[in-house]
Amino acid sequence: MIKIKNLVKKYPVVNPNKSLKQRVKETLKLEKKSLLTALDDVSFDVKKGEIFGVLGPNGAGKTTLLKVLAGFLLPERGTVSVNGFDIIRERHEVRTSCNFLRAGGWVIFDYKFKISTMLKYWGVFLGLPLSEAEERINYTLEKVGLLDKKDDYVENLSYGMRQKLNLARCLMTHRPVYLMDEPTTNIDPYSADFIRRFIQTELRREGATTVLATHNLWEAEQVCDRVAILMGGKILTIGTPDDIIRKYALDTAVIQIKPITDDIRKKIKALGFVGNVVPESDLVMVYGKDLPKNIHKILEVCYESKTKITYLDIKKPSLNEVFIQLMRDKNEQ
Amino acid sequence: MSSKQDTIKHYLTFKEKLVVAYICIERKILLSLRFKISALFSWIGMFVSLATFFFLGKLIQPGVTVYISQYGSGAYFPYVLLGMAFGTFSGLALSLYLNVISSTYWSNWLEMIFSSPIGFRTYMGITMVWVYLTSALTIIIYFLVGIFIFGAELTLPSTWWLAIIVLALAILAISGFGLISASMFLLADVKGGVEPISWAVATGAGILSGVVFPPEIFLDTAPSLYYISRLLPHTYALDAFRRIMLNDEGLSPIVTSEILKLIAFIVVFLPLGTYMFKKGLEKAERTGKLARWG
Repeated sequence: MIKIKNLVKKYPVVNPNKSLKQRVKETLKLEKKSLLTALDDVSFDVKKGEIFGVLGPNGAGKTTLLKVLAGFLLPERGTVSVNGFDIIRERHEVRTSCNFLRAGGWVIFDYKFKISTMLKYWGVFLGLPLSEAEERINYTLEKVGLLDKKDDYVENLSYGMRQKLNLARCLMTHRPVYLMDEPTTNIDPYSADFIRRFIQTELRREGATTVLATHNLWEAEQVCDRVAILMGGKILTIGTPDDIIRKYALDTAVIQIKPITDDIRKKIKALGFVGNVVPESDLVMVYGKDLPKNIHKILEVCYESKTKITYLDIKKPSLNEVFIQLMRDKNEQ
Repeated sequence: MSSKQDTIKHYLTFKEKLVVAYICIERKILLSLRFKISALFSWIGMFVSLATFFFLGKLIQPGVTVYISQYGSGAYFPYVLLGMAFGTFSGLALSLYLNVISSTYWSNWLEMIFSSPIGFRTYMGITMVWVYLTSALTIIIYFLVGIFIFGAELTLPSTWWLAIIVLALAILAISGFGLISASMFLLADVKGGVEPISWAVATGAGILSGVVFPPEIFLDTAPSLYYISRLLPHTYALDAFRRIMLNDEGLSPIVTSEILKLIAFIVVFLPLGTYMFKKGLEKAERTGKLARWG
């Protein structure tokens, strides 16, 4: 449904302190503009019906990527196709294949209008026949939980409700691609949860292909089938959240062993699947791969050393930890 | 919900575009009805400005007759009434493109327009039809108030159709400047509110082109200003418009000459403006400036 190959996007660096002379030179192309690489050789595919997360810190290139996919921004290099249409040659078809949802659901609505009126206008504006637009108002409002607000004015809606109305606007159309740029930013946890469930259930049921840009890693882990972690315009890794966690992070076992000796610590560390053993007061933290599966080997070491285990807990790492680790590694490089 | 891809509308038929136009116009009417006080005061403002020029005419009529004797009876009030009517259209031609591009940009509608199957050109066309029609209605009311309340000596000339052609040509000629001005918003990032090109043309036209007093007035005191007025299409359009409306002239040598000058402005500035505006939109697509945020 979405194919991206060697995508490169550069922006001119915005410098408000630039002198008039420099600006004139740049405009007349006597001097080269300094460019910032927002997307650097990005390649991946998104399958039909897939929910694909794009993760990254602020300025990583997430919004730029979404704008390119929506046909609102032309790339410097690379090929991109969305819903079978080429982003350069068939830009209009790309644009009319996508629903673009931004953070903050205020700006595109006329706040003095009733919700139902607003939806009718948007439905027609986005390509529905008038009769179908009128028919779909109740359906979409019910799906986003705003049916009882049908005759309310947009200006009376809370921030979270406005974002739900934005979802309803998208649902009015039959467009197969949803591009969502931090859709749960700045909204209350209940509405954010609603939007996440909406993506997981309604958009899946619709068979929509969704690209979700977020820096809420918990959200990505809950909602996305696959994610790409983006930093400085480059993709650091790509895969299912589980695969990425398995690939980059170690499980943690918190064990209370009595008595704990250096010899036991060394024996545990010598086990092939263990990455590190760190003592912490009367506990030891064991970092290793697939600990739920391999924990019996640690227990055997303790049993052979005739020590007693009084406490054991195994923690699975989250995408959040992987993300932080990857960012740290990248910054150190 | 099945076979969604088959039901995506990438392009609309003419009939479907008419439905969108109807919806857009209904939306604009609803919006203006939501702001009744503003509409009321703009009508009061129109009445006040007509009254101002009516009484000003009484004061300056003896002195001004010598300058406007070539138009009808040389009465100031019909002269200025036509100037104000023309000014409404010329002001629109100059500012409409910039207003549409800046208002849709600041409200993040521009991206939505581009993602609609109607596309930007049709949206612009719908907006233009609506704005020019409502302005035509305003001008008719201007005339009715001017004639029936203030007693302006105006009758419908036999060559009224030529007056409409002159107005249409003037709109096209001034639209070239309007498009150049709108392209500055996108090309040169002029987003501070005042756009220098439209400001210069609007100010120059307002003072020099003969909207409220004839440019010939400068010949005695500041001849350079008179020659600057000859650089503006407004000057020629106003002269032709008044000759048709007040003298019932048809394609007289002067009117024909003014029409030819307007066509020259169209030939030079309309393609230039269209080209620059297109380049501006291309730049916005290249730099991601179709929306205010992100």
